[in-house]
Amino acid sequence: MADGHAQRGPAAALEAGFAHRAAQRSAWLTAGTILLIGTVMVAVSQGVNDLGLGQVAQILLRDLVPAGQFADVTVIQEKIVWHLRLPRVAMAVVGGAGLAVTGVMMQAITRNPLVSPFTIGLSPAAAFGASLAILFGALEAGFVGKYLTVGGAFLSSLLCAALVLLIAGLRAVSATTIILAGIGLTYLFSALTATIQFVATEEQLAAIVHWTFGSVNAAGWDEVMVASLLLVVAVPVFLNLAWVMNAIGAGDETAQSLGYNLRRVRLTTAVLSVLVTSGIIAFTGVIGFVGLVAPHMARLIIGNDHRWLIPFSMIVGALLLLVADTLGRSVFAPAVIPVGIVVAYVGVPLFVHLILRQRQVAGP
Amino acid sequence: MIVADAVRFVAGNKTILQDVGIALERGEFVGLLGANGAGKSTLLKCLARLVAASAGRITLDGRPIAAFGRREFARSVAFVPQFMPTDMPLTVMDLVQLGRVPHLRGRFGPGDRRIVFAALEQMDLVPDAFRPLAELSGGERQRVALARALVQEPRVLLLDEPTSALDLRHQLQTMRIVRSLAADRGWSVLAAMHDLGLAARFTDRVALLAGGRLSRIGGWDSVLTPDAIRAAYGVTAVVGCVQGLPYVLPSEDEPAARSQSA
Amino acid sequence: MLRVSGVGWLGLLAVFAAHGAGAAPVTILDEAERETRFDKPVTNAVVCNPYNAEFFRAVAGSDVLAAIDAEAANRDGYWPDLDPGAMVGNCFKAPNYELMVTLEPDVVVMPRNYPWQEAADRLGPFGIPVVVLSGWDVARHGSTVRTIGAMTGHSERAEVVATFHEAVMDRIAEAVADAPRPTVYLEKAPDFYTALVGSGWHDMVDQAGGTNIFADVRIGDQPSSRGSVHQFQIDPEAILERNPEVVVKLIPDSYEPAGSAEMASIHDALMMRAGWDALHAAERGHVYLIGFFAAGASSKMIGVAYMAKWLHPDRLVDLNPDALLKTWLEDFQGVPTPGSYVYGMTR
Repeated sequence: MADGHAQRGPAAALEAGFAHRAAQRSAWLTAGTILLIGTVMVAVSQGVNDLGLGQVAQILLRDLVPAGQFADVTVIQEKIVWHLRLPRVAMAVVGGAGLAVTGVMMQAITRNPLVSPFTIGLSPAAAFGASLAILFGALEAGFVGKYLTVGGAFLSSLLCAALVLLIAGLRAVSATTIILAGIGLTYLFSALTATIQFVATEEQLAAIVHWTFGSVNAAGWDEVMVASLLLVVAVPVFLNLAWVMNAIGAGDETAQSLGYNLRRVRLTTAVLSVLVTSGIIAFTGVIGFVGLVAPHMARLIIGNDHRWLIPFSMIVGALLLLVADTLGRSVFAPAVIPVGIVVAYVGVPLFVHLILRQRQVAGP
Repeated sequence: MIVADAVRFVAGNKTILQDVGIALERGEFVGLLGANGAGKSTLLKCLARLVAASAGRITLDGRPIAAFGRREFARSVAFVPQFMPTDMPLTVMDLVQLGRVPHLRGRFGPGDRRIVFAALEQMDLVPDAFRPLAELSGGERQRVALARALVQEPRVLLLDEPTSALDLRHQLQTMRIVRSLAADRGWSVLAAMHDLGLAARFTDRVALLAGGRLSRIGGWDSVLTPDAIRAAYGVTAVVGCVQGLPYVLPSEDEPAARSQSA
Repeated sequence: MLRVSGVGWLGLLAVFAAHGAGAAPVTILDEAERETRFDKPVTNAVVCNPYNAEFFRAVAGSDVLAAIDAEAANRDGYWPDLDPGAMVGNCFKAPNYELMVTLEPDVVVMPRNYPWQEAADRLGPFGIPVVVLSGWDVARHGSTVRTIGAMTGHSERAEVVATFHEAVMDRIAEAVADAPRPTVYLEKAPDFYTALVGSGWHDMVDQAGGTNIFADVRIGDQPSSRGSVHQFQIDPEAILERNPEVVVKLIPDSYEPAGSAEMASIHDALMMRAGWDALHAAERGHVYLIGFFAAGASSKMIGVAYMAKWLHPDRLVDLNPDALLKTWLEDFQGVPTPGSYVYGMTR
């Protein structure tokens, strides 16, 4: 057998395998995007007044859809779409995408698949901040009060993150220290929040409890803008860090040997992740599960290369939250089940299915 | 070439490296020997700029290594650790590709791919190319780590126990590849090793680390004398050569000598 | 003697102004000190919270209710005139704004501990005002009812509803003012849980002319594990030590009463508790049961009436709590009286 022929064989097989996998990933990404757009359309069409998809298109793409094509839409229906349904759909998409992508980034820098933004204590910290704001009069402050509560939640999460990084930085910004600091702060902020609940008046307590329900029911365009802004700023940075995330997965020594400044990368990633997550839960309240499980689901489908994982996890997270919210307001209508509750029911079976499917493929 | 001069490394109240000096020439393969805890990994990491030496100078082609940009340095020096974590589901391809990072301009292109495929072939990893690292044996993972370094195309290669988990066949294969990297491509290679016979057979020189110093550097027969081995490892050994293949066989361990290694 | 709060006066003034000028616009000042202007009387309201809904129905009739919330709807059979779909979900956790908007109401009403600010933001673009009224707050009974009257253009009727409550409360207060106060053990639904100073249930005992045997317990000195002022866990032996003259137990029910069989068995279980045969209350047959639904009706006026009758029968001979409850349900709420909500050896 000629040497040239043997040389071509393995290289060709590798090239084919490589191309095949790249094509597969592209396909998944495309399919995911199309599915997301379709789901958005369906979500917007669902509600007290069900609209046909054509009518939805007509409302959203007013100038592009010729008049008279679909049954007329009333003014109220249009207003419902623009002021109630679209904001909540947008919040679900932005929230799901944001929580998922920060989950991916945090798991990557800690090299721990069990990490989520909430593992480092952000959720109880945000609840504490909101509770504090409510305790100190956000309720009486009228229309400003809403911003006080949101601001309180946001600042508190940032404080928590700063503490985590400070504690971690005193030793080394390594995976284990971040996790340990986060666990400690989770307990601290939970205790602080419980203390506030104990001294709060009944009305304040009710407001605090209401805040913690993970929900997109209250979303208006103001809220969506702020949450999206943070995401829009962070995502390009995350995408730029995709290779570093891959490298960290191979071990700190390998990553450093490739020329990366791990301390700075971890700091940047952690800070941006915290900003994005805080910016979301300050408005939606506590929504767990997505930040932990959406990255896993995405990884099981598209692999660990962050160039693909980052965008795909955003699609998975957005779909998860969007489907959960839509089901939550359709299945038991007119009751609205908050998305924080539904998302586990929707996600867990899906997650289990993916895990089982993977084990079968991998074999004994 | 990479030169270390009077390098000292202190951790806490322990001085791991006292006064280490070594010069790695282009195209030479040097074996770094010494007992556990002697400081082999530490020295490699100092040279690789993964940790900062407490004192001393390290230069690459005359420039202090601290003066290099990170990417620039990574294009010249590659460090291969002994173990790699398997917490995250990276595949072999994912990991080996990483070696191109210091050289990437924009996207990962066909040229980069060719280099990666060649390395996979050379390290006998083609059938496993798309498998997750976690499914491979320790030895297979060591080969993957080396493949990544091949892809990185540095001028200096620093290896931490590259054959510790390999079977006999792959030990020979890896040593041959490493030796050819030095001889044919002109890389400077420094490999920390436990297998003294393997080191003696494939390296150009060996350096023996004991008491925080490189007590002896030179050809294996001049460095690996029974006295030197007893001082560094605390064992009595039989050193020889049969059919052109060097061997070092430990016979007895000596209680007194164990305190020699820092 | 009419007791009218500041807010109520404002509401009244608005009413007189309307009478003088024809159907003039009305400006309402709600509990959150927000002003809302109504150009015409409210005829279609989405009302959150069962007590708010009851007051709206009492003042303006069930036609004024565009929808109620899940909490109110849970009272099965209590809203026969309302469509089952006219329910806007759990207004406390997740109000269904879309449904509210579709109903095109004149106003949405929420208590102050519900997310009214959020509701105002979401409903703003649709021009639907949110008014904050807390029907569950018994201390604000008068002003809440009168504000509803002003909003709906039924101020006269509101006055009747408010007076219904106030007249009875005043009469009882006068009758028991200088009477000896029997000691009372008030038990909540779970065994050995009582109400302390700070709870409206404790106030009920007080207003009925009784003394809560646990009136000396201050919640601030107690471990939080024992509960809140509304539901506080006591040591069973303490009841025996304090030996109440009357025992009243609140039992869980809804519009549908618990039923005589169930009440009988609860009563018997009480009597069989260790040491209870020696209690003053047991010896004299003063052990009573009352359902939450009746006790809370008309801002707890019905509960006070029943309790006052049990504590001071000789001073309140003409007081007929059964008749009062019947009036509340049939005249003010427009629903039949399904049965008795109380149980006791002497009625």
